[in-house]
Parts: sequence; C-alpha cells; structure tokens
Amino acid sequence: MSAIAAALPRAQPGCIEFAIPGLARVEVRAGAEPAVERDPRAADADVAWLLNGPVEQMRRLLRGEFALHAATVAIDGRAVALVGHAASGKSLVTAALAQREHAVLSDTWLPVSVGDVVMAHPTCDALGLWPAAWKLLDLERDEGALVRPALDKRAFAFRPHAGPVAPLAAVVALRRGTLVEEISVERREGAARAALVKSATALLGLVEPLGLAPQHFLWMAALASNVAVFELVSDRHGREVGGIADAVEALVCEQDGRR
Amino acid sequence: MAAAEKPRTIWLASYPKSGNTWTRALLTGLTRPSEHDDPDSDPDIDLDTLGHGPIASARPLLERHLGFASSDLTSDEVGALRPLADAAFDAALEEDVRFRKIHDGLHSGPGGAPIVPVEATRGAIYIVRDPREVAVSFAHHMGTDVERAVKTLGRTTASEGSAKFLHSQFPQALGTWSEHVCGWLDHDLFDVLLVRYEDLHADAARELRRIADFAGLATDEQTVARAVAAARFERLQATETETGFPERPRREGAFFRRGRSGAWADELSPQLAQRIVADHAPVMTRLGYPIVP
Repeated sequence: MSAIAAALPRAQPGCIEFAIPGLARVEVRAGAEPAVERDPRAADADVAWLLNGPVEQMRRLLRGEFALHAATVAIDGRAVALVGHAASGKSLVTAALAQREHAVLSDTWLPVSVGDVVMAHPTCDALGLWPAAWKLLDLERDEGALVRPALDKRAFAFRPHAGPVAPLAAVVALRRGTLVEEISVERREGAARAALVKSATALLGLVEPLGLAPQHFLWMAALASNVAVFELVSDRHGREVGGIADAVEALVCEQDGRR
Repeated sequence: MAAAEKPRTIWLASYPKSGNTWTRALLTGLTRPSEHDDPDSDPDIDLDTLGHGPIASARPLLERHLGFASSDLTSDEVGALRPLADAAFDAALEEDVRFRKIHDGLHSGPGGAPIVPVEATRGAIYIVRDPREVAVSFAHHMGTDVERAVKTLGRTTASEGSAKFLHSQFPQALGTWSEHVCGWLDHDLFDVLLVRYEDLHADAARELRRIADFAGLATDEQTVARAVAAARFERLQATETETGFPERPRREGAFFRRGRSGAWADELSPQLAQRIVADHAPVMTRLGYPIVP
C-alpha cells in the first residue's frame, strides 16, 4: 500500500492540495513552483502526466486563467470546443474531425481568454483514445503513444498542428439519449448558455474556495455572450461517429451563414 | 462538540441482474408522490430518473470532485478516491436518506479496502437472487451465451465493464457470486438488510415494508400497495418499450425481459446448473436456495 493517502483536491485562496496514492502528494501555490512529494514507486511517465495535466491546469487556474473541460478542433481556423460528461464522446468525435484534417487544439482542457475576441489557447495536438476507439477510427495501436503505463489508453497525434491561438466559434455539448432516432442539434440561448458554460468549466469545484467566483462569473458571462452554444444529442448506443462529426461541421457552416 | 450528523446514504447492493432495478422502482414508488391529481392513482415510475442515485461507479460524481478527467487514473487510484467523493456527496445531501445502487464487491478497493466510505454509510440493503437465475439473466444482459455467464459467476476476477473503451461508469470488480454475497453480508462495518428477489416476488408489499422499516421511512399500507402496483413488471416493461431505459446495455434486447422467478430451468442445461451448484453450494444453502435437482 502507498504511504501517500488519497486526497481529493482542496483549495483555499492561493493554494490547491491533492494526493493520488502510489503517485504523489502535490501542493500548488500561486506564483511558486508546485511542491511534489513523489511516491518512490511512481513511474516517470505517471509523474509527467500529473505535472503536465492536472497540476498545470491548477497552476493556470491560480493565475486566474479559466478553461473548459473540452476536446477541441479548429474548423476553418475557428475553434469548436466539444464538452460533455465522461464518455460522451468528446475525444472520439474530435479524432474523427481531426481525420478530416481539422487541427486539434485540446483533448481534456482548453484555456479560453475573453477580450475583444474570445480566444482558445491550444494545449496539445494529441488525443487520448481507448482500444475500441482505435478500431472505430481505423487507427493502429503503435501510432499512439503511451499515456500512462497502467492504462490501455494511447495518445494519437494528428496533423495539421494548430497555431498558437484561434478564435472560439462554438461550444458544443455532446449528450447521449435513449431511443434517439436522429442526431439533433439545438442552439442554446439565455440562461441555458451560461449554465452550460459553467458546468463545462475545468476545475469548477475549486473556483469558489479559491475566491475566484466573481472573475469566473465575468469570464462565463463573456464567453456565453460571444460564443454560440449548442447541444448535440445522439443515441447512447449509436456508433455512428461520422454522423456526429458531420453535424459539428454543419453547425460551423451555419455559423458562417449567420456572419 | 456537536454530534456528528448521521450519514444519509443507504447502498442498494447486488450482484448484477439480481433485482436491484425492481427494488429501486419500488422505492421510487414509495418515496415519490404521484404527479396526477387523483390521489388514488399509482405513482409514476420514470425510468430515466429511477431511484435516487447516482450509482456508486458513476464517473461524473468523482470528476465533479476531482475537477479533471478520471479517464487518466488507474483502477487503484480510482478505488482510493471514490470513497472520498462518495463521502463528500453524502455530506452535501439535504434529504434524510438517499438510496444509491452499487454492484461492486464491498471489498474491491485497493488492497481489499471497502469501496464505499464506511463513515458516510448509514447501511446497505443487499438484494440476492438464485445464481441460476442470475446466470441466465446475465447472459441476456451481456449478449453472451449462458455457459460464459456461468463461468463469470465463478471467476474471482470478474468485473462489470471493460477497460477497452471509456464508459460513463468505472469498471466494477465483482468477484465470484459467492464472494460478492459474503463480502456484503459478513462484516461489521454497517448494518445490512438481506432481501431475496424470490421473496420480493412472493410478497413485494411485505418486503417493501421491511425495507422501509430498515431505512427509517414512514409509510402506510396504501402507499406501499400503490408502490407495488406502480412497479409491477408489466408496467416497467411497457414503460421501457415506450421511452427506453438508459441503463440497458447496447447488447441487451430488453432490460425488463421476463420478470419471473424460478424459470432458470427453461434456459439452463442440467450440466450448467450443476456447475453453479458446485461453485456456490455453501452460499446457496445459506440463502435457502435448493441445491438438489
């Protein structure tokens, strides 16, 4: 058994602490390097995942940089962020779009800055996919890189690479329904838009204890006001990822028509 | 020092296909009033929002507390963090009692630790069913043959869920059917009420009253009778046909399939029935399931 006991992320202004047993205990403070107590048995690849993933997200949040929990592609130079619950298909649909030569901007988290234009800031060009997804997308195992030694999931890089930033054109929430015969896309307006953006915020549970709720509200309001928000519903048992990718491309075209 | 608040969570625990959903439907009928104006009408059982929840193995619950994707965590890490998320969830509950479904073996946490937070558990209702019935139902549920289902019930490493694709639930370590039963019944961590599926069939009202007493739910004969009527099999089957059932796996034709007790002999060969008895006789006898042909 690990000497490091599990601890869910806890936050207070300027500081976030958490612990993953067998891996590390971490304290992330604003303006300082994270303090990492590494389990002696932890593999380098696991520690790298931790530092480049969750810890980096927390560092940015402590700087007041908010992000969406999203997989993102750029279609015709504009970012489309796919959000949704675990296993809603974010990475899978993003990979299908990437196979259509749309650049990948993120897999699990997308920093978004709000100003004159709402901008998406890329975090990676590889998507973590499970074996069943490789099969659906005709990908070979060896094309993907190890994410963590104990996981079957592998990270697949796609081309072309994204540029440094891209304007955020749309947030699309993927939902899986029961007895859904056809994929549906509905634009969200008003309070529903803001609620969706809020629920898709990365590390949302830490925002208030960090004292960042007012800034988050402004960020959320600016994003919801300036970016189109959609809900895309497909059948929970459906395997037609191409149809979902078609729907995402179509709504970007619709956005073009509106401009 | 203020007295610690009593936990609100009561686990509805069972090996898969043992009657957990029916029990939740009965509890839903008991605890939710009818939406119709007619006070004599039966409660509505909405299969999309069945039984309180969320299931213990739900990814979104852990992710809400983690803040980052759980899909990058190993099974041991998930097993260590899940009880913490469940404890936090329990602490934030406002109702007096919350029933939550769980299929995991109780001691399926890292190193055999409980997969639920003991200090944030009021108790558990363990629902059990003749393993011969379970095997037949499990085969239909998983879209596989009965022989494979029988082997699964006898495998210590059995789990519900796959590591090959991302599911909205974490894989649930089951153990053998006997290990699952004994794991949930033989401990002193919290109170457990044993409910047999066959007893629910024989007298659902009596069993629902037992469950209500255990959970500290005030009820009356009329409410119990309406809940039983609302959750009868034919009605659940009709509802699934009309609106679907979100917990039905892709491979399963219909979740509410037969709704009978004692029908295993129709679909289980004598050889496979004997295999189940060979694997699980002590626990079957303990629970009152006949082991003679």
